[in-house]
Amino acid sequence: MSKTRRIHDDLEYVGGIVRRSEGGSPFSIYLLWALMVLVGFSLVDFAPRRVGIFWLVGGPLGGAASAWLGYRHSRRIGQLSREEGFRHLWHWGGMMTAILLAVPLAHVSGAVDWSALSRVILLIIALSYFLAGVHLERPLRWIGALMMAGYAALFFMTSYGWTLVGILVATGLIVSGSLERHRGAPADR
Amino acid sequence: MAPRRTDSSRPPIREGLEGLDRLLEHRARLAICVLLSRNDAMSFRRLKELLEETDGSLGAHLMKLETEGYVTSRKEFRERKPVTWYALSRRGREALESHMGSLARLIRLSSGARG
Repeated sequence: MSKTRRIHDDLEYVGGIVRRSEGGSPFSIYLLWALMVLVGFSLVDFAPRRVGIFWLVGGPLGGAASAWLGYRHSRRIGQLSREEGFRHLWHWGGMMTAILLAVPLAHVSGAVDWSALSRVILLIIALSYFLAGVHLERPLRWIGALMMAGYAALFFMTSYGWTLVGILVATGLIVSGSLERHRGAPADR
Repeated sequence: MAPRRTDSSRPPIREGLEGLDRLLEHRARLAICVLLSRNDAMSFRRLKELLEETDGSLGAHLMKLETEGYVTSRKEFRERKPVTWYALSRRGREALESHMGSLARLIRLSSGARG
């Protein structure tokens, strides 16, 4: 085998290992957001006045909990990367900022009503999940697409639409998280 | 008498080969350094799982890299079990960058030669 041929083979071998090292988030993060979505979306149908406070408090708290769960997972599997952590922080922090900036559309200027704003926020979240799937973690693409489908479905559902979309997205998150868990590495000892 | 070959007339592929880092010519050691360059630290067990090497073989590769100052290690205990973490040193990063540069040059040259 020529030297350059061997170099090509070695680089393919290294590339394969690097791809295998790119693991996803732990199941606990998927489960956390499945519960948040289930409760947060259902509130729109059952207690619409509590939706704002739920996400205002729960969103950042959930983000902090996700960061902690992600860090704990990284230590457990034995792979620490600050760069990866910061990529997630920028992505999800950007999404939360966009949502916060959208709130004055209804609260301050009154340009849109709360019902329309909720849908705009769902669309922001859907796009964020989809882009996270493209750039950070593959399965989230499907969750983003599911949310977009839910957004479209809300135009046709007159009652309990948000609850149904919440159930759909939460199920998607749990299924994706379970698949990731089976694909992922076992815990480090 | 054949003219003596000067440095400027040496075949570029040979020059590229000479630019390679001997320690990183082994693919397992190259993979270890590439993985460590993309992460702040990795445990022995994680490296073993990804490289699919035996304890002895991986330990020997890591020992060589550590002896040359390419990687650093630290031990900690988790649930009373030792965990060894490895990180790429500055020297290791520089060696890897130089080695990858030589590899890239070689690949360019060899594809140029074929084309």
